[in-house]
Amino acid sequence: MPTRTQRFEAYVAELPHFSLPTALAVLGASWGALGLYDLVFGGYESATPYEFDLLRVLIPLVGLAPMVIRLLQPKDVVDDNEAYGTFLRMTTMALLLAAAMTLLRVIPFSFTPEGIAESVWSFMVGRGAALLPLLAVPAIAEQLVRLLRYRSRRSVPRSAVIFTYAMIVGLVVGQVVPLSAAFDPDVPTPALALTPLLGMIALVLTARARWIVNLRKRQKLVVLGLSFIGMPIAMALITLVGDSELAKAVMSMSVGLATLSHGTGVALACVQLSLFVHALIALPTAEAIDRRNTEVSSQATFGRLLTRSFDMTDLIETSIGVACDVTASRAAWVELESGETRDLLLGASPRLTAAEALRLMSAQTPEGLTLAELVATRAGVQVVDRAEPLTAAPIASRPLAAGAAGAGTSGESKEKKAEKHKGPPALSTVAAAPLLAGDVRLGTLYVAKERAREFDREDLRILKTVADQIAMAMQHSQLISSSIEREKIEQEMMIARDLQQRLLPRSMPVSPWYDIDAESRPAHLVGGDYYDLVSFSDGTLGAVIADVSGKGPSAALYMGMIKGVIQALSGSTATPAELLAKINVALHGHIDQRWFATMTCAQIFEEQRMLRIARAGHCPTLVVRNGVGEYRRSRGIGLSIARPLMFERNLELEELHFAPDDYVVLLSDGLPEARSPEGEEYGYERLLATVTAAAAHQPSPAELRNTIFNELSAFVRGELPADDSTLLVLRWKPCTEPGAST
Amino acid sequence: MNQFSVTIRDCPPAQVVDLNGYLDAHTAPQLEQTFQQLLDGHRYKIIVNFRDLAYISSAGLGVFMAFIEEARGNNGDIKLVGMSPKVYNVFDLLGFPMLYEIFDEESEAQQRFIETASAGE
Repeated sequence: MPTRTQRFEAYVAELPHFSLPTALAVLGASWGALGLYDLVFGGYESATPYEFDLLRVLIPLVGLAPMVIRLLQPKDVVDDNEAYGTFLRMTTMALLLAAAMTLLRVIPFSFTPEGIAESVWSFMVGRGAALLPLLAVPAIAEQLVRLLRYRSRRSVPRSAVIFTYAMIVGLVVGQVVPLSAAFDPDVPTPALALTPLLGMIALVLTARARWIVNLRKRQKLVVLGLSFIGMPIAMALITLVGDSELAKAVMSMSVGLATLSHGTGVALACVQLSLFVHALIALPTAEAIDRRNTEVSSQATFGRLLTRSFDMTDLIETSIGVACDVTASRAAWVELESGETRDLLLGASPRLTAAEALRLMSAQTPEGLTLAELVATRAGVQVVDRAEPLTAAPIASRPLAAGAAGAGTSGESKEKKAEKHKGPPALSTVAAAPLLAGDVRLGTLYVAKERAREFDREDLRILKTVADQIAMAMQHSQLISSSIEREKIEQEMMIARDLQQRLLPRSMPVSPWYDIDAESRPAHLVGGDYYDLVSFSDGTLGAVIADVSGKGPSAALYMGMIKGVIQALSGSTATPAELLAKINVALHGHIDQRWFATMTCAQIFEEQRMLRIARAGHCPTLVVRNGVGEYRRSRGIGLSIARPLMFERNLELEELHFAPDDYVVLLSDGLPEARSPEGEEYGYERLLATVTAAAAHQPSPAELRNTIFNELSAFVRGELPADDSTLLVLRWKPCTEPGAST
Repeated sequence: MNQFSVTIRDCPPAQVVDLNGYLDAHTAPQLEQTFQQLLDGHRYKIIVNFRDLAYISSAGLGVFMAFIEEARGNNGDIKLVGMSPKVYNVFDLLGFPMLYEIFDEESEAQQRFIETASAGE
C-alpha cells in the first residue's frame, strides 16, 4: 500500500512539467495582469493586500502555480559537483538580487504601511521594481530546495520533503490568509510563523553537507567565500517583508510572495551559515582529500584504459595527465625504451619542453650519475631536489627522438605554447619512477615541480603506484595488440589458403589411357607448392608441378601469378621446354631478385604412352617402368634465376616411353626432405624404395599417393613438416582397357 | 632456433665469407647484410665457403641471386667453395653450377680470381 505521501508524489509527478523560462513567463504574465487590474479596476490607491478581492488573490496564485509545481517536482541532486553547481547558482542569484534591490533604493517611490501607493508614479515604479524579486525569489527557492534534497543516495530525506511543503504552504497561506479582515496589519502574515521552522529544517538538512567534503580545495574555498557573503544577502531577502518601500510594493502585489521571500531568506541564511562552517572544517583536509579523489579517479581511468584502449600513445598521454594530477606536479613525461631507441613523450604538460625534460633527466644525483642513468638501474623511485644538470650531459648523446610517436604532435605544440609563456618558472625538483612490467623495463615516468622538497613520501608512494599501473596498462595494450595482430594474420592465412586451394585444379582428367591423382599438403597454412594441368597448342595435356620460394601469403600470391602465366602461355606453346622458357622470360627481372620457382612440366602423349618432360630446377621425377623405379633428372635451371638465353641453353627436353602399369610420380622436395624427430631425412632413396615396392601391387594413383603419405607420416611420427609436400601420380592403364574401349 | 653466423676474412684478391649453421628464411637477411656490406665497400671478389654450413633453404639460395649481377658487373664474382654433397645437390638441382663457379677448395677459387685478374690486365 502506498502511503499518502507517495500517492501525492505520484500525483504531482503526473502534473505537467514546466521549464524555468515557462514558469517565469507565467509569473511575469500574472504580474502584468495584476498591475493592469489594480490600475484599471481597483485603482492603485486601494490596491492593498488586506482588502478582499478574489482576483487579486487568484491572479498571483495562478502565476505562481508553475513555480509551485516545479518545487514539488524537484530533480534530486545526487552528485557532489552538481550540488556545488546548485550552490553556486543559488548564491549567485541571491547576490544579483540583493545588488539589484540595493540599487533600486535610489529610485524614490513610497507606499503606505498598508501597501497603498502614494502616487501613480510610486505604484508604477514600485510594481516595476517588485517584478525583480517576484521572478528571482521562486528561482532561488527552487535551487535551495534542490540543494537541501542532496544526498549521495537517491532516497530523499523526509525532512527535505517537509521543507518543500512548508515553503509551498507558506506561499499559499500567505496569499490567502490576509483576506481575514480581523488580521493585524502589524504582523503581515501568519505564514511568517513558518519561517523559523524552515530555517531549522534547513539547518538540519545541511548538518551533513557531505558534498563539500568531496569538493576540490579550490571549490571549497569558493564555498567558504560565497557562503560568507551569502549570509547578509539572505538577510536582504528577509527584508523583503520589512518596511522598505520595495518590500511594501511587493506586499501590495502578493503577500504570498513576500512570505516565500522571507522563508527563503531565513532558510538561505541558515544554509549559508551551515555551509560556511562545513567549508571551514573541510579546508585543512582538502589537499589530502583532493589527492585521494584523484587517486581514486586515476584508478577508474586506468580501469577504463585497460579494457578499452589498445593505443599505446593514447594510453601514455592519459597516464601522463594522471601522474601529473595525483602527485600535484607541474609537469610529467615518459621516456619510452624499446631496444636501442628512446622516445620522449611529453604528454599535455603545458610548461614542459623537450629541452627542459632533458635538463631534468640529466640532473645530478648524489651517486654521481644522472637521474636517467640512476633510475635505469634501480627499481624504486628516485628524487632530485634543486636539479642541476651534470656538465657533460650524457643523455643528449643517446639516440633520443624527442616527442616522437603520436605524442610528438602534441609535444611540439605544447613546446610552442610553452615558448609563448614568457619565461615559465623553472622546474627544480624531479622524481622518476621506472615503468616495470615484471622484469621488463618499458621506460621511465618523470614528474617535476617548481619548488624544492615538494615531493613528500606520500607523493612518491603514489608515483610508484601510478608507474606500476602505467606499466601494466602498457603491457596489457601490447598483449592485446599482438593478439589482434596474430588473429589478423591467421585470418589472412585462411584467406590465402582458400585462394591457394582454388588455384589447384578441381578435377582430374579422365582418359582411357591413364589415371592421374594429386594432392598438396602445405606445411604452414599456406605453402609454396602448386600443381596444375595445362593444354598445349596441339591439344595435348600437360601436368605441372611447381614450388615457389617463400611460404605463407606471399608464396600464395606468387603461385597465383605463376598459374596466370602458365594458363596464359600454354595454349600457344608446343612443348614443356618452350613453356618453361616462356615462363622464365615472363618472370626473370620482373620480380624480386631473391625470388625463384622450380617447376617440372610433363606433356602427355597418351596413345604413344609417352611423356615429354622439362625440368626447371625442380626435384627429379620418379618413374617406375617395368617394376623398376628411378629418378629422371634432365638439365634445367630454376625459373627466374637465369637470363632467358642462359635458361634456354641449359634446358633439356626429355622423352620417356612407358608401358601399361608404369607409374610417373611428380613430387616436391618437401617429401624427401621431411625429417623424423631424430632429425633424419626421409630422403630420395627411401621414397624411391617405397614407391617401387607399392607399385608392384598396381595401385591406383590415389592409392599410391595414400601409401606414400602414410609411409611418410609413419617416418616423421608427428614431427611438423618444414616444407610443403606435393604428389602428382600418373598411372598408365593396363593395355586391355584402351583397346576394349576403342 | 637454428643458429647461423657469417664471418668475413681476407684472401687476396678476394674476400671469403664463411657460413656456419643453418641458412634459412630467418637467417638469410644476415647473409644479405654481409653481401651488401662487401659490395658497398667495393669488394666485388667474393668467395663463399660452405664448409660449416649444415643446411640451406630456398630463401638462402635466393640471397646469392640477389648479388651476383652486381658483383659481376664490377669485374668481380661470387664463387662458391667447400660444399657438402647434400648442399651441392640443392644447388645442382636448381642449376646453379651452370651459373656459378663452384670449387671444392678455397684455394682453387682464389687461384681463379688471380688468373682472371691477370688475364684482364
